[in-house]
Amino acid sequence: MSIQDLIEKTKVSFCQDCGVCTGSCPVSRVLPGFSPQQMVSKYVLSSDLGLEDEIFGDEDLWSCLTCALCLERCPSKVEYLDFVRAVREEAFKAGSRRTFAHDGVMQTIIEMQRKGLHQNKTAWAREAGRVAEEGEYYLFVGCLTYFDAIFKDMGVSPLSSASNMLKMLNKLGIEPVVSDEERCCGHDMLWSGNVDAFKELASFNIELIKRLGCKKVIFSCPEGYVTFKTAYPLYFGELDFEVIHFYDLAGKQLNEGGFELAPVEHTVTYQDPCRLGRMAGIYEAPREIIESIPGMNLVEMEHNRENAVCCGVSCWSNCSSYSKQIQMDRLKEAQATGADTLVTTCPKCSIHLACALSSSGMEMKVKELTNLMAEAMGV
Amino acid sequence: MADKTHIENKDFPPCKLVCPILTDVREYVQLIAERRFKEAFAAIRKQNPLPGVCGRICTHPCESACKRGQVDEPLAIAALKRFASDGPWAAEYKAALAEKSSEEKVAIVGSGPAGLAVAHDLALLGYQVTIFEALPVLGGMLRVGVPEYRLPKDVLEKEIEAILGLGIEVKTGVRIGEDMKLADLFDQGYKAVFVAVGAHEDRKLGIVGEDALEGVVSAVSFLGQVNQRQDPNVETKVAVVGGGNTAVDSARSALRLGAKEVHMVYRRSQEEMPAAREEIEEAIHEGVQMAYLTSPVEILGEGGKVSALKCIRNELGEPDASGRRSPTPVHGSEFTLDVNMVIAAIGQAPESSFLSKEPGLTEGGNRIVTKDPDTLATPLAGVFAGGDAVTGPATAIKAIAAGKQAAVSMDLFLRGETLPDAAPSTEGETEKLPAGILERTTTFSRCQIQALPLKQRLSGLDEVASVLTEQEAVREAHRCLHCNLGARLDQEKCISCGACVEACPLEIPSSDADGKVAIDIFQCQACGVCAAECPVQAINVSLCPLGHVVSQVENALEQSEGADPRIIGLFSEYGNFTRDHLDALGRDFPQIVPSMVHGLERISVSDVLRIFQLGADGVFMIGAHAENQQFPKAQPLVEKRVATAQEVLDLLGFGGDRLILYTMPQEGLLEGSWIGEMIGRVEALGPNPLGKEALAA
Repeated sequence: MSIQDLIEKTKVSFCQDCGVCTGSCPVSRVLPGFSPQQMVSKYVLSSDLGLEDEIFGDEDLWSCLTCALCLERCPSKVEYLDFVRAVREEAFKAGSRRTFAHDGVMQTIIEMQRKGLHQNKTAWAREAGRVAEEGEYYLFVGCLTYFDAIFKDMGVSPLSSASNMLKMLNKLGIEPVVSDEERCCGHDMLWSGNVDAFKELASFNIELIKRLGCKKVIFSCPEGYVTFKTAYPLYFGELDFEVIHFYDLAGKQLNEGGFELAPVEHTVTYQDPCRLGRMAGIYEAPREIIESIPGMNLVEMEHNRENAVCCGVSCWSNCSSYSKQIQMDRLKEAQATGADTLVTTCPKCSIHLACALSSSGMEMKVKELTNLMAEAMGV
Repeated sequence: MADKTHIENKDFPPCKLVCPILTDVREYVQLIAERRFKEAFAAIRKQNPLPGVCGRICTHPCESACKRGQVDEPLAIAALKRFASDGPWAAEYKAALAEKSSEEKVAIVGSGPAGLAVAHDLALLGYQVTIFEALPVLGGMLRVGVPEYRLPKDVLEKEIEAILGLGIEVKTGVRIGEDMKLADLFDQGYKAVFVAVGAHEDRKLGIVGEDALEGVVSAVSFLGQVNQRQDPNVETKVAVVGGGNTAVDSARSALRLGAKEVHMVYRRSQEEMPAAREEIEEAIHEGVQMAYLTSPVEILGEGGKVSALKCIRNELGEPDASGRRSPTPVHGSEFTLDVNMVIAAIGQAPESSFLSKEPGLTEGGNRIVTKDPDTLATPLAGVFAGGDAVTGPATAIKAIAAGKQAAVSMDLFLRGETLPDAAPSTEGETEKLPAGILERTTTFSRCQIQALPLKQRLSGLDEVASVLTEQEAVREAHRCLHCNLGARLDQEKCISCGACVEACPLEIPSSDADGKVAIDIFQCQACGVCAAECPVQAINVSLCPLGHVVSQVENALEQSEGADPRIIGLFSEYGNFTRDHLDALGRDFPQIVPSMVHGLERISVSDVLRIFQLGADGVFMIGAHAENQQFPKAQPLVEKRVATAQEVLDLLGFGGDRLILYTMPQEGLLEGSWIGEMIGRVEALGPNPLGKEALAA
């Protein structure tokens, strides 16, 4: 699609140059010259002049975290994220690439899953709890096993979060199906402009779940959840299974007394992941879970819920001193609440904030909510 | 060529910075380290038309500047140059000639190193070059001054032939100034002239007996006779006066031509002696007796022949203009040396007969003057000059530098363009490495150059020093500390995570109170462990940039279509193996696709995965034997990365067993049994699950 068409389609032409987006943008605060508003006017102008190559070569295109804070506040309802994603798709086709972090190891792992691999990534599940070969529920684990292998030194344990989730599901009488054939959800490829890769991965997953006959797919990863929930239908039509977030499911069970919780003494604050909060609208369920644990004292950061600030990096790309600045500002905000633990519900938030924390000298812990719940439940 | 913009570039390593022709030492040393000898020779030869000569007689200021010298001993750079130049691969070198040749004629007066260098460079630029040489042989002082035991004639001849092969005309036996004037050359259609007549006239001792007695000779004429196989009538007891290289050459030559006793008479102490250290040591080793702090006073004679040299002892006083302490005679300390031949070697100047016939070149002095030391233009239009005739006796490499510099100037002059500005001096001392770095750097002893046994030396003029063997040369090349090819940190990317601080085996990266990280590239030895560890690729190591290993493997795979299964062997270049080992591997095990790496420290988890993505069925990572390991402290990180890669390969369903980390044997690339082991594993696991698709992508 031409940039001109994208501008129309994503209501970019409605932009009134008010600058609220730039004022809200966490990247604009730290990266000199970065401005969503100016990016929009720059791209509109370049497109008018037929200078699309300039757009594709623009590093700012890849610096946007797609955290959706600007979207939340735009008075003209410009669909900025859709615009960025679509322009990235065109730029990718034109050969433009973003800067990968970790020497591109995650991208390589994802790329390899595009081919006919038979992975061996569910052994942990059989050790941690009970899983089924078929049934109503499918547990989408996504990249957690890979994160665990690559980031185990970071002091976070993405896989323990998955194990704990499985144990809790078992406690609720759910024995989900897990599969070695499952692929990455494609989130990072989609937001990096590589739509072909996204579609290949997505169709693998859709076919797999169809083949297994599962009707309810449970997620703990907000990215997987929001990708299945909103992006898959966009490209593949309505799905014939339900997409459920674990915290929604767990929240309901808590209300109904499905869980018994032992006291855990902590003062915690909660980091809303952009994919779970602004993109999926799930703000309260995690908070309710935290507050239902006896002894738990939840204190809010200055920027919370719709106004929460991103963890600084997306898609394992474009991590830099600017990302670190965003992370440090967020950690300081968390520290100011007096919390001893920063709770998140996203493995990437957890890895990124733990990374920044490790060299900050701050006395705080980063913990995924599933692990906190497991502690309270004694699983 | 001394390119100004390059000299100002602080990225230069010390070895290059101090070389008069800015030789890219690192480049050819690294190529030798990678066993790419032919390319190493080409790298040297493209800059220097006399590599075999310089590999033998260069005074190698590069070695004095070498940072390795602060750790243990400097890299044997000259020996490596000789190794690269002496091999059979050198004959394959083809110079890159200009696409279009010019009709313009240039004349070179003198065929020493300066003349040969300018002739070479101008011929490459397409000019019609003629060399005029007064002597019947070419090479100037290299030919008639340097003794054969240091520089065999065939080495020099071969290099001169290669230069002449560029289409250079030679007129020997033509003494410019006498047979023809400089002005005549212009009349004959030469558009520019380079005068490099050298300094072939010895200074007089200025003492009684010098002119009257038989048996007093000047070093230049003495060496000239020796080198042209004429009998110099060496007597049994010889005194050589002087302390420079010419003096040492004369003394050592005299020993070889029958002298039973040779004394060197030098007015200062050994420390001030201008001759090369190793030359002095060899002379003493061969039996030359040193009379330091001694000046000749009078040559005594009997029957018209030398019978003794009367000398006086000196003591050293205040430093003189040259910075050396000046000798003062000690009253009453006279003594005589019982000798029957005296060779005067106290310095040379251009031949006065030439200078008097071309007075326009000297402005009344005893050397040729240049209007501008950077362009080498003389006061005469179209006439350029360089080498010893301008500087006084200096080194071969300085003469070559002058020739190369003149070639640039003359080309600009002939094209009617402005001559370039000054090239800043490149002399200076190498910065000192901190004590901690010296402590943490693994030491490797400098190669021992095999020398001819004393008896064999003195019975002829055979070359004393041997060329390094392949193994010695490669091992020596591995001692290079890769100055300025190490870690460069991009502050904008750096997230101050401290991964590099943790990883560096030399503890170079530091982090200040604000977490700002700094990496001193001067200290860095380019192991690359930090670059592979940095989560945001803020560090680049130019010796082995990010992604380099993978593209290397990609190339290797392209050239090995037949291998099945395809097992990639990543061999650390620091191992003790030769080209023969590599060739044998290719012959005996076609399944192995070898790829040499600068050490396993540089390989990231992502690199390994990408190699499998390229279609490898198995990957060996083979590090150097403990004896050859430069960065043993980085080994745990290498092991950790391998373990992580194996874990990911397991998860992906490839099987982590396809990746094996080994350490090379003391000699050779691998143990034969490893290959069977790997093939067994690959057979058990099946081919790369990405299959042929991977290769197509």
